Amino acid sequence: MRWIKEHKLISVLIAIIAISFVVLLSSIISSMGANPVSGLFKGVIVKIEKPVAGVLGNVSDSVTGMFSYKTLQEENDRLKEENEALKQQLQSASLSANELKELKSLSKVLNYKGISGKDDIVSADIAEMNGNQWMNIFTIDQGSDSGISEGCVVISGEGLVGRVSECGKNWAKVVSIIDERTKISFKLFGNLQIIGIVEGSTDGTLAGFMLDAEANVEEGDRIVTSGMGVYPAGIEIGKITKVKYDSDAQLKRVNIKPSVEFKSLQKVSVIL
Amino acid sequence: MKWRHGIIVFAAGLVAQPVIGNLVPVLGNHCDYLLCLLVIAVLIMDEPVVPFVCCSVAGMIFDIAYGMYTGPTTISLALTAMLVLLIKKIVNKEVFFNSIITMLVCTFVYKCIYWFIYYCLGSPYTLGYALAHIPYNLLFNSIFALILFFIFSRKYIKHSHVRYQ
Repeated sequence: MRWIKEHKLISVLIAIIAISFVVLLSSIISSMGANPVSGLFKGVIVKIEKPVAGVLGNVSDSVTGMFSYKTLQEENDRLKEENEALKQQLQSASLSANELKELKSLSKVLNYKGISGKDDIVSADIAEMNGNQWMNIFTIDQGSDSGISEGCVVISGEGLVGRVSECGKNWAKVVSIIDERTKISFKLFGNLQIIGIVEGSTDGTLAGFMLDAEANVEEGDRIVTSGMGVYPAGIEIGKITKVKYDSDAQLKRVNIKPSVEFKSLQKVSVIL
Repeated sequence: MKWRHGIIVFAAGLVAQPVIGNLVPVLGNHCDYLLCLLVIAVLIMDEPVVPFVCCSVAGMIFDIAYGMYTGPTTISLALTAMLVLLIKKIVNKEVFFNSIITMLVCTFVYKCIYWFIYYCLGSPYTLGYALAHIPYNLLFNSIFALILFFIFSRKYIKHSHVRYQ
């Protein structure tokens, strides 16, 4: 007791470290199931930070807008042109009602997992992102009240983002595909017969291999989800940056740059 | 530092950390507010029990909200605080340059400890990847630490009246 009184600071620090270790152990154990205390904390934090982020976001957008008026004008013009082109493309690519009906029945028979319509998607803003560490984990402002549950797939306009790892009433924690340790099956965008498996790598990119070692893949090829497993088919994952034949494993290994820029994500969509 | 001041300051750091990072994703990284507050408070104050406790609680809440596990941030911050206590014995805390050097060393150590804890828990990332953005962290943390130093030093560093005798 005397030592504690004489070394107050060290005692407090040791106590803090000991408590943290106990909490860490309990969090490892409880990471397999839902933790109500943690859920309560997150709910409160999202409620506090959402308005703060909203106000600061408006200020940030206004300031950025003032300094980048010319760029925005150019981007606006470019997007108008792109919109027109896409409209024309959409008209030529639209399916007739009968063809669509046939495809839907076929997909039902084949148990094909895909995005079936607007009702299956919930849009969400990123409420918080821990940008200071290397991990790409963030919290979104929609939760189980909107129908989101653990394991739901998260996408953005650029491609596949990740999966919901934890979920509360008004929040959900999303783990990116880079941090996700599960493997994702992919197809080549240009040739849907070529299949491979991708997973996060130790340098924050994606690495994978082709199921067929003879598969014709090149740097710059885009890859999309194959539909096997939890991820629906056709979502862009990224671009192949390196192809290398591993003679030991007799596999063609690929490095992939994700399409999504995780650090600058603002909005995402959750597939229910 | 009074408890109410500590709670307000560290609560502000806790809110600022993810919100500002989300709004200004400069190079993917930004300042580590909780770490800066802790390092400067421990370096300057004579009895930094309040910042210890407040920062630990803030670190715990931060992990609950953003981390895969609860605890690594608090453990890393506490071990870094121990390092600051050691540095404090050998440097003159009245010199702002020393606070920057302390901040640089502590940022590096904090990142390494944080990475090591996650590595032990099975994270696949290499130390090289975890430290890839550290130059920006060092820069932003030093700037913020300097600002904090000038704010805190006015109140907590008592200059000696017999300095020139």
